[in-house]
Amino acid sequence: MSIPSPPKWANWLIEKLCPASRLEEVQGDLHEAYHWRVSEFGTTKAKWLFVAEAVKSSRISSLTPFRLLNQHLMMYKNYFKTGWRFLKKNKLYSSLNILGLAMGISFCWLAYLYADDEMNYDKYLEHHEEMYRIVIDFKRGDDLHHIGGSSNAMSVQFREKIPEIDQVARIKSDFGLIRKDEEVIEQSLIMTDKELITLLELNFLEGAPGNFDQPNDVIISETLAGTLNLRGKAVGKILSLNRGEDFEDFIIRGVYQDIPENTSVRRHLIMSYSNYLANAPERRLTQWFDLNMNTLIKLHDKRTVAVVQKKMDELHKENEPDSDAEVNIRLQPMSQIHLNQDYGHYNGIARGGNVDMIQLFAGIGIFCLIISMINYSNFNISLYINRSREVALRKVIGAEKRGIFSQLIAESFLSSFIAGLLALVVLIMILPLFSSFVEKSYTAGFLINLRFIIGAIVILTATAVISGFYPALILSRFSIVKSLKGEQKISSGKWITQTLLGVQFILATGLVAGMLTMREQVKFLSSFDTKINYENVIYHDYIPAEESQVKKFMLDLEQLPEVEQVAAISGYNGTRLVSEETQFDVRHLRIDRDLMSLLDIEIVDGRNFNEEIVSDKAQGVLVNQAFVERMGLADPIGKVIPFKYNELENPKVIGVVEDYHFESARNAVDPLVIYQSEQYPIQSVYVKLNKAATFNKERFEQLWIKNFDPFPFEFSFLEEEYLAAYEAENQMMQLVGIGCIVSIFLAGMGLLGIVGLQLNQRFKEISIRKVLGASSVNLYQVFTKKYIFIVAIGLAGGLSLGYYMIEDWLGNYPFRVDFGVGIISLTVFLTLAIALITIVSQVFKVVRANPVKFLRDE
Amino acid sequence: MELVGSLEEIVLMILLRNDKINSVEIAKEYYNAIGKNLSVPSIHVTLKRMQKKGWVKSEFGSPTAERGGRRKRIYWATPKAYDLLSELTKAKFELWKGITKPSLQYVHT
Repeated sequence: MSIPSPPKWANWLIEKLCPASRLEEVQGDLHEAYHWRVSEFGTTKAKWLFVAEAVKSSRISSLTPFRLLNQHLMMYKNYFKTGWRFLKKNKLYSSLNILGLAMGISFCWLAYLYADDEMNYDKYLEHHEEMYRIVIDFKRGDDLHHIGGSSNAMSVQFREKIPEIDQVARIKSDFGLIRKDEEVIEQSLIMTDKELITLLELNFLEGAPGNFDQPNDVIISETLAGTLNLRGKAVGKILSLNRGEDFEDFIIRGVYQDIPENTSVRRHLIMSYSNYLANAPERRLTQWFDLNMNTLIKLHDKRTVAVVQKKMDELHKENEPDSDAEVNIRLQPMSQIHLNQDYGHYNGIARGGNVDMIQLFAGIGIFCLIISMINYSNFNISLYINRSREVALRKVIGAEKRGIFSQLIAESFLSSFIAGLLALVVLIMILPLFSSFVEKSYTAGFLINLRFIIGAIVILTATAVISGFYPALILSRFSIVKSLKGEQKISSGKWITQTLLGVQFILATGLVAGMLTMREQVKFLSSFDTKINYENVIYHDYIPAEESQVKKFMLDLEQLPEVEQVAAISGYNGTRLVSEETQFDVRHLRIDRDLMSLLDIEIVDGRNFNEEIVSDKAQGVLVNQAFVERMGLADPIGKVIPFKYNELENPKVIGVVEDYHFESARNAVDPLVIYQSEQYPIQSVYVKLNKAATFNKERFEQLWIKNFDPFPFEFSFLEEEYLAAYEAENQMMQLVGIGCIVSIFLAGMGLLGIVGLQLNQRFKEISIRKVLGASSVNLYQVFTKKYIFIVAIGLAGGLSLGYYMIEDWLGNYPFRVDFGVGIISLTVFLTLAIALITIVSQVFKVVRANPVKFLRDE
Repeated sequence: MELVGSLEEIVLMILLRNDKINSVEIAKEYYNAIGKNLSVPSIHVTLKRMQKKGWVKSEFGSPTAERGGRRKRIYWATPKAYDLLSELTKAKFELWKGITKPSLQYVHT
């Protein structure tokens, strides 16, 4: 019986699209099945099934172009496979290698993440290029002051008289307590114009700001809405807020999406500026040079900056015609606010970034990456020497130089890809730790951002290419015959590997020296004799109450058995002292009661304030030694000094106190005038505790509540307060410490690789030496000497590099340690010890090996 | 016990009942036993998978006319597959024993 043949086109389809290896079976089976089905179900159904099965058997990868591509891919698949097997065979070395690279990469990524975030503050704002903050350069005599602030009067006049300005937003910061059921929540806030809402591109989730011109208008962030349990129902609700005296009611007009963390103006509670207008004293609003707020402006066109600045200066001259100071009103670009330290970050501007920290981070990140890349290259060369036979064999079979080259590059990509994955894991693991370290809230979500992903890919690719390139170049040029005989040595690259090793040690030593010096300096600062005895002293900072209330609190405190003494101060303010001969900045302090004896501050000349001498309170002042020196007073006691603050004019010096450090030992002591006259409200209270009695926190808290409710009870021990001043140094030290450990670890690994490589090539030599009777001490000497030489050069270079960087850093401190013998010898000791252990461990392996094993094959 | 897919199980049983057969013969037997058409490529895939697992072996057989002169690939089950399947079947039988007296809910109404 003859039956119709199956559809030709389906048959053709199988031939084209079925994998060649299976074609015969598949095609045969389909035909056989077709025959059977024709007899069982009839021609139509059989044909139909034949077509369906032909399509099912097709694989798109069998298309001709794909098939050709497959051949290349196959080659790469083979490369990856051999690469992978090789990695598995040398588990220890390759895991060290990859781990090192991963560490370098993740460190570099972290640095990148941090720097990228810090350097792009405010840049996401659409109009950030046209936005500026008004700042002031103030010059009197030789002193130049940068002031990050402006006044209400300025803002108003600028808005009216300079047409180039598009929008003006005044920002006045404040602080208050929000009542939530029974408890209160501390909350900082800003009072601002409606313009700020547009400038910051606030997104409203609920409600809208409306005109935002009533003194009781507020808007809150979604976070604050969440804290107050008002999410979804906040609009129109009453917010009860206390800003010093009584609770006032505000109406919530809207809820905005949280302002991104990388914004310089970022608060959770925003109040209408009209509230400030309604409550501030007239003087604050109209006085031209009362700088107590920030003003952001947006220009129509950023090219008019110079014109606008000139107009501002002209307006300044009109308003302050008699001023003897040279004042320039400047416009600070919005994107520079965060990192520029000159103008400060207060009055509603979020805490600024630390450029030093960014540079340090970036530096350490790049150091670590360089070290790990050098390592990686060295390691690869050291491992590849074992593979010269494999490479030679490939060449014999017909591989071209290019092929070998691409094989090694492919392997390099493989391990840098693995390292990249590992680095990502490491990164995700240490991200929470890191973000608390730099006080940010980085989450893994931060990593999913286009710039970061591109950056990561660039770092990875660069690592793979750079670290794979050199070994690939060397290995692809090996002589076949020599390699097969096992005689191929890497000599051409020796000086390169040794130079690289030296560079590694320079970097690592520099970091070690840096870390040790920082540690010394922080230790030195923390134990610095500030000439204050802060033992058993408790400190209540910035009490938000009237002076009379604070005094009542002090009286109450004195009743407690454990309280030995109480004193209060205004806080250390600054003013300028002007006389005919000289003028300079002085700090001044109002005290209440006997602060000097409470803090054991020595009176070196004259006497302390005396309760019984009435004139002391009105006209008597204490000055410090720095003041005496600055004024050039030969005999200060009884002298009238040209100091003026509010109503205190030309007071009389009754005593000289020792230069005690009222701020951290980071700075020299400024000239200081201490008075009892009531020119400034007292704000902070010092309490000296009696050693004999036990400190009862509850009793203190009760007194606090009695006097200052609802403000939350706060106190600190003075000593902790002083130590907290070195937080920045501590943080830097930790950072350098981590960088130091990582880089020393990496450099040690690099040394391990190089020593291993070079010794592997000399097994025979060593064996012969041993057979001829060399002692192991002798062998250790011979083989350690060379590497110690490299390490020594690295040490010398690292120490001089370290010296320059550290001197630069220490130059910021008037009180400092020296980069001296102690630090140098400790650095040398640490680095040498690690290097020696690494080298000797490798030499040990060779020296202990059985010489017969290596000589037998001759 | 390794997991056996239900199609794998049936194909294995068919292989165990026969000596050395090819995919089309498996499809035929499947049709005779179950009454449904099983597509040849899906048998190919299953066989290939089982070959990787070591349950099945194969070799080229002789060409026939209805195959257009192409050789067929014939398959047979390995002892490992036999053990696995007998174990599985026993286990299934044990399970089924618990359902010998069906409750009312399984009665067709």
